[in-house]
Amino acid sequence: MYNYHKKDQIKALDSINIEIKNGDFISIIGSNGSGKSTLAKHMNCLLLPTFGDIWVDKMNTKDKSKTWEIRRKVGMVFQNPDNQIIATTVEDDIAFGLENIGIKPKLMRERVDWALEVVEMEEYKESEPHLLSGGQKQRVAIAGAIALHSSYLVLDEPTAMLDPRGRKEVIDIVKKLNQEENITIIHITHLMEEAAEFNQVIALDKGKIVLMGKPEEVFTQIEVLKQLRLDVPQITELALRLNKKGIDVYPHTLKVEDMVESLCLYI
Amino acid sequence: MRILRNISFGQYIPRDSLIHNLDPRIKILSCLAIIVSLFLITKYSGYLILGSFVLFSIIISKVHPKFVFRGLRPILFIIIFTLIIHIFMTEGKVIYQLGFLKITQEGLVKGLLISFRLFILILATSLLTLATSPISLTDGIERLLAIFKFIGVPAHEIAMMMTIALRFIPTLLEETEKIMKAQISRGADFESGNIFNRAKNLIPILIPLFVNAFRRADELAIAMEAKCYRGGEGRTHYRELKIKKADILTFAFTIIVTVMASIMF
Amino acid sequence: MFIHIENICFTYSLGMPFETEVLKDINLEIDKGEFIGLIGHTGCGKTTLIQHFNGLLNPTSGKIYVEGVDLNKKGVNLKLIRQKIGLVFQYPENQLFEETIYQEVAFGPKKLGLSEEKIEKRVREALKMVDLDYNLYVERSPFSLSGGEMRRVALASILSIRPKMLILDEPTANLDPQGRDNILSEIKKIHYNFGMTVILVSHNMEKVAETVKRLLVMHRGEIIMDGTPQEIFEKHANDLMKVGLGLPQVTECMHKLKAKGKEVYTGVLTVDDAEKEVLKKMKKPLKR
Repeated sequence: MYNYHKKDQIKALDSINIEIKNGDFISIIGSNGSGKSTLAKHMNCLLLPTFGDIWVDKMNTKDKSKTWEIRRKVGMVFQNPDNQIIATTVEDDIAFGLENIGIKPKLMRERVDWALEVVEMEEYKESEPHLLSGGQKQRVAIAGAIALHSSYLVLDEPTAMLDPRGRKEVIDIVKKLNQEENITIIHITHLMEEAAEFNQVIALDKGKIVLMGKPEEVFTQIEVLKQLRLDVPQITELALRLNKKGIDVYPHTLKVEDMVESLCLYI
Repeated sequence: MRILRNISFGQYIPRDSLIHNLDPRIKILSCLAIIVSLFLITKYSGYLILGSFVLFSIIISKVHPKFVFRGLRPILFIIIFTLIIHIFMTEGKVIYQLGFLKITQEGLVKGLLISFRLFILILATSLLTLATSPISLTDGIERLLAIFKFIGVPAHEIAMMMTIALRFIPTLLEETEKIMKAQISRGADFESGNIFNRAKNLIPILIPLFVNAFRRADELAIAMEAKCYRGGEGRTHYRELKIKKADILTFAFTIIVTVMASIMF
Repeated sequence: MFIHIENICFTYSLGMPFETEVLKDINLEIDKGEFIGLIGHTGCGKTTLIQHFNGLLNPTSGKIYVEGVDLNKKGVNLKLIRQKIGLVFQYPENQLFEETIYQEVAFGPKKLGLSEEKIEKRVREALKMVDLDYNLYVERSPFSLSGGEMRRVALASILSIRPKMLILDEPTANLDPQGRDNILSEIKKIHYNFGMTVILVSHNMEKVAETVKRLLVMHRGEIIMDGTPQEIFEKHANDLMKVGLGLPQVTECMHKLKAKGKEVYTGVLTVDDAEKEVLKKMKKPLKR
C-alpha cells in the first residue's frame, strides 16, 4: 500500500491528505502554480515536506536510510522528454537506473529487454535518443523508470509537450502498465480529456485539494473547474446544458458514445 | 541555413572487423603505445615499421581510408608549416640556395621526419575514433582511469561528463539553429559588419543558449536523482568489458612492433 | 494577394544519405487580413513551410512571392521581407536575452535604425497589444516573469517590428488552459482590432478551429484540406480521423448521430453550436 499523508504550511502545498492504494489509476489536475509538480516531487524524496509525513510502503520519506529504496519503488517521468534522457542510446538510457542500484549485468539485460517490450520500443533499442519523436522519448523515459521494477509511477505532465499522436502513445502505455503490470499510476496533466481516462481525479488549487473523486463526479463541477481556470470536457458541458433545458440526458456523461445514445431518443 | 541537422557526433563508422571488436581499453592503450614510440624513434626504419603497422590496421579495420585520411585535413596546415620551418631554419649542408633562403640536407630530413611523426599520430588516433563507438570509448576511458583512483582521479565523473556531453551535443546544436533563426526573424544580422560587431551580434544567441542549457542541466540532475543516481560508488555497468584472446594477442603484437620500432633499429 | 506560393518542394540534405522530402508541391494563396489555422502533426512539414515565408529556408524548387516579390530572386532584400512577416517560433520565451523588457521589445526596432523616440513609441504600442502595462514591466528582467508573461513579451518583441503578417508556431504549447485562452484571445484581438493577417500553426485542432476563419490541414508534406473550419469538420471528418488529428468531442458526437441516420449539421465547432443544433432538431417539444 502506498500511504500518503501530508500537512504542509508553506504556500506550495497546504494540508494535503491522500491515500493511494496499490493498483490505483489516478490523475492530478490543476493550473500552473497549483502545486501539482511540487506534490509529485514529494512522492519520491526529491522534496521533503516541511510539516507532515509521507509514507511509501510504510517508509517515511524523511528517513534518509530509505531514500534509495523509495526512489526505486516510485518511478518518475518528467515533462520535457529531452531533459531526462541521459545516455546516448535507448538501451543505455534504460539501463542507467539499473546501473545506479548495482544490478548484475546479465540481469540488467533481461530487465532492459523487458522494459523495452512493455513500452513497445524493441526496434529502437540501439537508436540515438535525439532522433526519436517526442512520444517515443517519453516511452523511453517510462521504460527507464519501470526497469527498476517500481511499483508506483509518477508522471509529471508527460504529455504537455507532445502532439495528439504522442499523447495517445503515452496514455496507451500508461493504461497498459496499470492493467497488465499492476503498476500504480499517478498522472499529472492539465488536459481534461486525458484526466477523464483515469479512475480517479484529484484537482489541486493553490496547494490544496479542491475536488477528488471519479471523473464523472469531478467534471460535472463545471463552476468549480472554471474557477480553478481549468477546462471542462466538451461533452460533459453539453450534457449539463441540455439537462438544464429539460432534455433527459445523463448529466455525468464523459463519453461521446453515451451522449450519442441518449440523443438518439430525441432527434 | 540548415547546417546542423543529422550530424552524428564523433565519427564512428560501424563495421564488423577485428579492430572494431577489440576491447576499447586495448585500443586506447595500443594507440598510446604508438604515440610514445613515435617520440622515441630515431631512425627511418622505425618510422617505416610503425607507418606500415598503422596502414595495416587501417586496412583490416574495413573503414575506407578516405575517412581516416580526412582526419588529417584540419592539421595539414600545421604539418606543412613545421616542414617549411625545419627545411629553411636548420643549419647544415646547403643543397639549394634561393637568395637568403637555404635548404639544408639536415633540415630536409628533420622536417620530413617530424611531419611523418604528426602524420602517423593523426592516422592512429583517427582510426581509434572511427572504429570505436563513443559509448565504448567512454567506457574504456572510465575503466582505464579507474586505475588512478587512488591518487584521486574522478574516473566515473569524467566518463559521466563525456556521456552527457555526447548526448546533448545534437540537442544543443538543434537549439542553436532554432535560436539563430528566431533572432534573424526579429531583425538580428549575423552576416555583416566587422569582427567586433559580429562578435557582439552573437550575444542574442549565446545568452538564450546558456540560459536554456542551465535549465536543462537542472532538470537532468533531478531526473538522474529520481533514477537513484548517487555517483560512481556501487554502480554496475550495462556494457561489460572482457579481455578476450584476440585482445591479448593484438596488444602483445602492438607492443612488440612499437618496441622494435623505437629501440632495435 | 499577400503571399503566393507556387509548387514549392523542399528536401533536407539534398543528395545526402539522410535526404528527406519535407514539402511536396505546395500551392497556396494568402490574402491580406486573413485569419488562418495551419494544422498538422509534428513532422508534417508545417514548421518548414512557414520558414519559407520569410526566407529562412529556400525551396528546392518552386516560387514564393510576398506582395509580388519573388523571394528567391537575386538581390531581394530579405530584411525587408522579415519586417513584413513576423515569425514567432515555438517556445519564443527561449529566445529572450536582454536585461530589461524594454530592451527586449526594442531589439527589433533598434535593428531597423529608428530614433529613440520612435523606438519608445513602438515599445509602448507593442506591450499594449499584448496587455502588459508599460510602466509596470519595462524595467523588469524578462527572466523574472512567469511562462505566460515571457511568451507575451516575446510576442511583443515581434509586434514592435510592425509586421503586416504574424505567424505563430504553436503559441499555446505547454500553457495551462487559462494561459492558452489568454494568448489566443490576445491573438484574436490583434487580428480584429489591428487588422493583422495571422497564421496560427498548431497540432491542437480544437481550440484553433474555434479561433480562425480558414483552416489548412497538412499531412506528410502536403496540404490535404483547405476551407473554413465548419466546411472541413462537416465534409472531411473521416479524413481528419484517418491522419490522427481527431475532432472536437461535440463534432464527433454530431458525426456519430449522423451515422445513425439522424439529420444533423455536422460542422459544429463549439458546445454552443452543438447545443443550438440539438435543440433545433428536437423531435418532440420539450416538457418542462
